[in-house]
Amino acid sequence: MVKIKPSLSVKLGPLTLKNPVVTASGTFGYGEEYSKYFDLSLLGGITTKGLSLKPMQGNPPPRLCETPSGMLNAIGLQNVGVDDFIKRKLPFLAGFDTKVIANIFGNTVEEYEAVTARLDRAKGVHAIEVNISCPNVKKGGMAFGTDLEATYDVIRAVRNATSLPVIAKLSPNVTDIVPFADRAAHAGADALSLINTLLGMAIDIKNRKPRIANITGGLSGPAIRPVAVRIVWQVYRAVGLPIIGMGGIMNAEDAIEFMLAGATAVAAGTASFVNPLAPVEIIAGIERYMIENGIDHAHHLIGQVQA
Amino acid sequence: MIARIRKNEELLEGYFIVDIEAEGIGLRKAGRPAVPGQFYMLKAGPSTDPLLRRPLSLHRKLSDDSVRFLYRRAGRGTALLSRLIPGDEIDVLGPLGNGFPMPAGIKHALIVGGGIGIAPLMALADYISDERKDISAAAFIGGRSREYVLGADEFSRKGIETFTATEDGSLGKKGFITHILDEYIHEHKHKGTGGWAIYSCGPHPMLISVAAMAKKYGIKNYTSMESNMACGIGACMGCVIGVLDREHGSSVYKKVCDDGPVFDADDIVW
Ligand SMILES: Cc1cc2nc3c(=O)[nH]c(=O)nc-3n(C[C@H](O)[C@H](O)[C@H](O)COP(=O)(O)OP(=O)(O)OC[C@H]3O[C@@H](n4cnc5c(N)ncnc54)[C@H](O)[C@@H]3O)c2cc1C
Ligand SMILES: Cc1cc2nc3c(=O)[nH]c(=O)nc-3n(C[C@H](O)[C@H](O)[C@H](O)COP(=O)(O)O)c2cc1C
Ligand code: FES
Repeated sequence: MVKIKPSLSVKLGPLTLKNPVVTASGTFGYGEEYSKYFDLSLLGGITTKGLSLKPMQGNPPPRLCETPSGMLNAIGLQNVGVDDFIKRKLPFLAGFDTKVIANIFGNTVEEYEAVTARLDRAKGVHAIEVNISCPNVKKGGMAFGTDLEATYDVIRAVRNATSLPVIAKLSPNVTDIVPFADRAAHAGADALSLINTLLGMAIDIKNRKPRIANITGGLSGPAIRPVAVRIVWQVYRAVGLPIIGMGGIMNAEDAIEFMLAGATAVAAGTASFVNPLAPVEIIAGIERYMIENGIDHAHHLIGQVQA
Repeated sequence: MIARIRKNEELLEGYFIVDIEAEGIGLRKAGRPAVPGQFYMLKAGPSTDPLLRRPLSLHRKLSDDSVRFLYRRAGRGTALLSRLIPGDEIDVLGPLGNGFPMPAGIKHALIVGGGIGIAPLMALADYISDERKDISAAAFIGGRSREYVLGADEFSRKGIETFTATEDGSLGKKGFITHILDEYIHEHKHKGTGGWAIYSCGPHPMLISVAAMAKKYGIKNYTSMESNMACGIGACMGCVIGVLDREHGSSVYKKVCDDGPVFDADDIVW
């Protein structure tokens, strides 16, 4: 048994987090909503809702429905736009002692580049997470994340537009994700976020209509956890980049499972909808597990599955 | 917060009231009471299926530490809730949302509810009869048949003039409650409808026809809207409806949980 407090700090390449738990993009707003429930400074990091060059209206409702141990969403990346974010949302986030990860997307490589350039100049952004994996928008999003060359081009353009750490958020909606992780690494990504939602669909058999207006949507929550753990493990073994693991993490046990599979950090997404305190409870639970198992440093958990 | 079930009773097949207790559950911040029209997000049990919390409107504030909900068993989440017994724990978030507005100058409230839509309107009636002696009210309650006209006796007991209608004529007038509302307004409008406001909640078609009527007579209509929710606190953008943005003359998506659930019916893109 270690007597001293274990160190929860982890390094995602150049980005150091005080603990391995961040919030997943699109599930934590811009932080304000959850600041009523706990001190955001407790978090390793906060990932913002996806930001685009211009504000976006998003998809028509209904935008979400529940599925077995999960949910489908097709928000359509409704967001305030990068300029309004910098002006109105970022100053609030900058008041907390945590890392702010700005999640971005665009319809073209140039848009990704332009959004990055603006965030690069803004005070209080610590990293850029590049979403090339949203299943809910026609252009951009997943269209980039399911094409190897487009993956390279987008990550390369973002890399060249900023000196901030670049995190590539990859799509699980491909047969083999490893080549995509590899292309992102070659393009200069510092870390990877795995996974975005899985493309899904649900039908109301009473009126024979799709249950969300976009027809298809992104599946998240515990239902996707085994898929996400498998992907983290595959990429960890094949590619040298640090990984933020996510997909159905509801509690500390789930988070530790991802770390053992190879994740350096973890993100709580859908869990925050069910329990606003989930991210902080996960941090406390990881610490407890480390004490109970005599692990003095969070790094010693990463990739330790005995496979 | 974790609350405890004090009572959970089936009123009629598939319709329940549940009283829950927890310190300060009937309060917003700083000792101020939850307002009618606000809602709570409830989760019965830790299972991941059903996964998400379910929204229920404040039906009655029993005390600062106790609230009542009126709910219909719609699916698995509410079925799970219906099986809880006194002493069981339930995980609750709230009160959330904006509540029914009561702008200065309101003198007469027309409360229009259909079926389970009466849930938040009872809280409104409680508030008006307990704390707003300056406001008079009339209630219009509809349902499929006699049993489904919920809360009418309670409204009458409060001294609120109450009209009922059922689709099969088993109670009150046969037909839709909106016809009775129309007659009522028509009959009284010569005395002036300044200071009147309509508060509505119920099935979507009813809300649409109430909104149209309010527009016809130039009366304000505040309506409580529903949508599928994930977070209930404004973070996921999942619960939006189309609302007119008068400033820009276009429509925008607003969050039912956070910008609502009560909206000016005239702003809603129906
Ligand atoms: C702000 C707000 C306040 C509400 N207040 C009350 C209340 O006081 N009393 C009450 O009985 N209900 C209320 N509802 C509706 C209630 O939340 C749903 O009936 C409930 O979430 C259904 O969950 P379930 O798991 O039982 O059903 P599910 O298995 O999720 O669904 C079963 C069926 O119910 C329908 N349904 C699901 N969600 C809704 C919804 N939000 N509105 C209408 N139908 C739905 C589905 O289409 C489906 O056919 C409110 C909803 C909102 C948004
Ligand atoms: C409502 C909702 C909105 C989301 N929005 C975004 C987004 O804007 N950008 C992004 O990269 N991922 C987005 N995601 C994906 C999550 O960040 C996360 O990758 C996914 O939900 C899996 O994690 P979870 O199962 O813990 O939720 C969203 C997910 C949900 C449920
Ligand atoms: S339910 Fe999440 S924003 Fe309204």
